[in-house]
Amino acid sequence: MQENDARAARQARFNRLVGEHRADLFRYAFWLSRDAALAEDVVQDAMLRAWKSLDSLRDDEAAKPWLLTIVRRENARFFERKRLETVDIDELVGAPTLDVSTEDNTDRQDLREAIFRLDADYREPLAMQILLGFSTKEIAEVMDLTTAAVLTRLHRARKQLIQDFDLGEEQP
Amino acid sequence: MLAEPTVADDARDEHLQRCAECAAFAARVLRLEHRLAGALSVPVPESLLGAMPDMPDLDEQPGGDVISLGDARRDPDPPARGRFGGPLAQYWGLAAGLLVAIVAVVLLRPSPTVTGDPGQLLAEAVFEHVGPELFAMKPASTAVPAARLDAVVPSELASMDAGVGLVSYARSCEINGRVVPHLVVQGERGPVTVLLLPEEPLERPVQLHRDGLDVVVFPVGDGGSVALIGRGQESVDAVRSRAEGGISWTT
Repeated sequence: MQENDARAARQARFNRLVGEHRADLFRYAFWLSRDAALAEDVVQDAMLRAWKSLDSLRDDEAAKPWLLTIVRRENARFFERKRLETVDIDELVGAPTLDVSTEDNTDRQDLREAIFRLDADYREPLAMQILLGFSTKEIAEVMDLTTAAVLTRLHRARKQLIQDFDLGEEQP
Repeated sequence: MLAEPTVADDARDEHLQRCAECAAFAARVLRLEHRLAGALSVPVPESLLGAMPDMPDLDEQPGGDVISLGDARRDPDPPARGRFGGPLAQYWGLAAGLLVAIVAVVLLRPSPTVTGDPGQLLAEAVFEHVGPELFAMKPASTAVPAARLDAVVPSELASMDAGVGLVSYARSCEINGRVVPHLVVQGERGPVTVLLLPEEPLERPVQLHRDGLDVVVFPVGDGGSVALIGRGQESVDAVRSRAEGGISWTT
């Protein structure tokens, strides 16, 4: 009975911490890999790892960066497996396609394509800042960069979007 | 402004009050920020919405990749590092305990059914793989999106007839070092896990019954096989007849 109670409490804590962030973790994984199916797999794997490692998370307030780190590692693992499987470097990752939008908002679709074209070094911190609300310091900790490097990447990301997207005002 | 457009900056705000051109640029950047937030919020697949899944029972050993980087920095109560009670002593104690447990299991377990036969080994590998994902093998009435199924079972790998059954779960997994489709099909007698193994040759079907699960692996085409896992032989048999005729390799 005690074992069942402990398990139920663990599941409840997991549901509370992970459930809140699941959607944003998928979105982050999507922008990291630019592949919706892969992102879904990565988050599923990350959830399993988080479940196994839950006891190592002593501060629930740290759940978000903790989960993000797990997602980053799972994404890296996937690409490492793909790298070991393939011989032809051109087959490493098929050409990514933006296939997530079913909406009629062409402005949003155009902007997504512009973000899609950003280099990963710029795309990732931008997603962490805007999507997940991470501060520059938190981004630097997760990505193992200096805050100055993060600020530079964020600046260049927006600058490139302004140039590529023409900073045209949203069309009515 | 372009690095942290929404972070408060008194000096910047003071300048914007005096410079109309910069103020106009700042306003456009903030409007872009709003559009970026919308663009980044892509739709989330149904599998990651709704009720959280029941997670599998843990092994006795701790997770192999414990994430504690950020959390360790925030740890307000780090473990004491006394001469005989520090973490190193704890790890040696854990290692010794595990060694005793492993020896006990080896000496006391019943004779394994694995005889080295490749088919049996494959069935064992399938059984071990499915364990952590048993949460996905539950009754469901919603099929995975077609795009998802196409991504997991690409046309250049295999062809699967729709008559095999409603696919409620689909992801890519690793078995014996190869990435393979892992599906859950809703059969007449309950959900059945289906693993497509195009590079696992088999001479004849193999069956395994363990821990309430029935596993059957049968040859398909040249050089491949399909594994079915269900709770009860009846549930597996209900899907097998359709799977045997409805799955083929296109590689």
